[in-house]
Amino acid sequence: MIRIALIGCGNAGSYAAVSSRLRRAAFSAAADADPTTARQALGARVDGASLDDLLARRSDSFDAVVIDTPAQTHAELAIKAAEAGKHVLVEPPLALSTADADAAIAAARSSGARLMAGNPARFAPAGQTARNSLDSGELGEPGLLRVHRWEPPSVTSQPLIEGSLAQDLDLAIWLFEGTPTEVYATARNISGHGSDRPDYAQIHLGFPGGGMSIIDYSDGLPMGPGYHFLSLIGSRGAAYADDHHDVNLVYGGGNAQSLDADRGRLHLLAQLQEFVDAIEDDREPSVTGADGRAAVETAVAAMESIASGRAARLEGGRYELV
Amino acid sequence: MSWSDSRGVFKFAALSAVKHAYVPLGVAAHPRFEPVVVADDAEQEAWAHERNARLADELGVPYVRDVEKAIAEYGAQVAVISSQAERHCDLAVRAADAGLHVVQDKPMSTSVAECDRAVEAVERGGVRFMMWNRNFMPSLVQTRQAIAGGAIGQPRAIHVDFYFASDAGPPKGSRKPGDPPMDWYEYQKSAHATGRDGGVGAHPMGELKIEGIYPLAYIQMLVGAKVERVFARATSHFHQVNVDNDVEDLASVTLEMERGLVGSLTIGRIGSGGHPDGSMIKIAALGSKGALVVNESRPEVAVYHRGQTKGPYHQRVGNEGDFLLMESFAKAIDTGGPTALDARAGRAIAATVEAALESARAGKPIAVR
Repeated sequence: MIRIALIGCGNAGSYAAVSSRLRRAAFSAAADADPTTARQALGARVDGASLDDLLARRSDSFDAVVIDTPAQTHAELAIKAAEAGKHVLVEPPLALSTADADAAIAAARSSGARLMAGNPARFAPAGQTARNSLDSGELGEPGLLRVHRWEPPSVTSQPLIEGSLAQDLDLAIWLFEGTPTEVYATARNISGHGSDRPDYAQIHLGFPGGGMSIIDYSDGLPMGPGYHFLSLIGSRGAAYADDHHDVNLVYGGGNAQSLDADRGRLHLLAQLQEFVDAIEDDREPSVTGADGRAAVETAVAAMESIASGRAARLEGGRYELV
Repeated sequence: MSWSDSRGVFKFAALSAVKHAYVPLGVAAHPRFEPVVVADDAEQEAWAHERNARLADELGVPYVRDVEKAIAEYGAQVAVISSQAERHCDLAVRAADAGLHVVQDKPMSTSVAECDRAVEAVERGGVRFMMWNRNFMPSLVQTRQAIAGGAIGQPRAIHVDFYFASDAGPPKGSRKPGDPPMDWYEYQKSAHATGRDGGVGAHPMGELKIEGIYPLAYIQMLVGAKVERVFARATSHFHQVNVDNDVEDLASVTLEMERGLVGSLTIGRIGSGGHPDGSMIKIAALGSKGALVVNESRPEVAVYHRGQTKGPYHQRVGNEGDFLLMESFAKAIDTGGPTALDARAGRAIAATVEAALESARAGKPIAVR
């Protein structure tokens, strides 16, 4: 039985909703500025104000951590947990720089802890179906991945490119089975809120063999539901995760109102279970630290592209602006 | 709105119909446009004359193997051009110089210089010019009204997916060792015997050139911003004829526009396995106050049955776009007002496509000239 500490409890309700279905593991601790509610929801026995606090007082109460804090803290917390011998699942992004990603990977390697660079997008039905359809040969060779991910402003105000976009960059790398050789990106403030902070980014990736992807992300939507669309065009077929089919209609007078269909939380359970199984089976998780680093490296190239207005090309293992 | 012909009927000459018979047929379907002649240049090949003559029979008008003679003798006020792509602008210039308004099939040309020649002739002649387009599809009309009505505030980003889920000959990788490469022109002629689809021209064209005007015209109509810079990727992913002739059937383009607008276009002829509707055409726009997502295929009726193995099975309903398009063109002639996609807009789209293809080759962003 793996005992898990949830570090950062803003999404504790989602973890709590799936925790009873988790095999070979349970939440034993929670850390946050105000962890009591989360601890109770998770059925955990221990809480603390932070990872440091838990490690100092009750390190014996958990074997692994799930880090779900603001992106700026991910690498530092992953390193601390790994150095303490705890297995680590980090929600995306793994880090905000390749140096920090390397340090997290090195810390896990030297302590023997498992490090999983989490990405719910890989475990969600859209990602799973696209990947499975590629593996079965139904789609042929992947040609074009298109992703829209639009959300209302985040409470945590993640860094746009290297934070919120990390999961989709990882998704693209996973589906094309390789690092992009070309990265071109642009960013804007579209809502007019938050001074000049970009709330929209568009990243254009090129992969070896002609594959391509356009991912656009915004956290500039008005408060309310977000919008997520994925399509993967292959040489023999295509996969579409299109919310035109994920909207229910409500008639209450006037225009029909749309209601986002509940997509459930099974992806969160699947990701947690993979983390637990990798620990129990003493193997690498399906999403490794190196995978997380590749997404970070691509995000950094995208940021350099935005700053320079030029495209970044992978040459000799490094991105160069051209 | 009235469809009445109270302001009169315009006689039109179909100047070559070797590519898309549906353009002159679409024009003829509107009560204010009456075909009077089909014409083409005498030196055209036999297959071209056969197609032109077939259209003339269908329309019940003469076929004349002399464009200038047809213009001079049949009283046409409008020229409807659907020739090989390389000849589009030349025929438009000749028609405009003779004082005819012009409806022209896509692409405007394979060369921006030719587009410039057409722009000059149209403006010199003071005639109305319209590139054939899909801007009056019901969903597009609704989208335009929503954006114009402020539904999303100021448009900031716009994306169009434009996929035709149809085949273009044998799939990529199907040519056997020792077999000769597929000849572009011969393939297009044989593939488009019914004049229903794709593009015909002596020089190979990819999907960006053939179909790019449709989604780029959507963007032009919906946000009204000039594309200033592009970054693109393009590849021959599906069909052997495109591999053999080094033209793309799958492409993605980042669009950087005036006023800080940004957007993208993904386009492809993705094979019949790619979507059961036969096409997947979608618009996603973000504005200062909200967003909208529109599927051009709506409304539709879906039919599923046993033994269904291929072909589109979703039937579109209420496609009145062509009718509304020609209604708008008639109004433009009546009033001297703008057309739905005039020569300068067509030229701008051709320049955007040319820059995108250059960007895909160079791997760099390219300014649109």
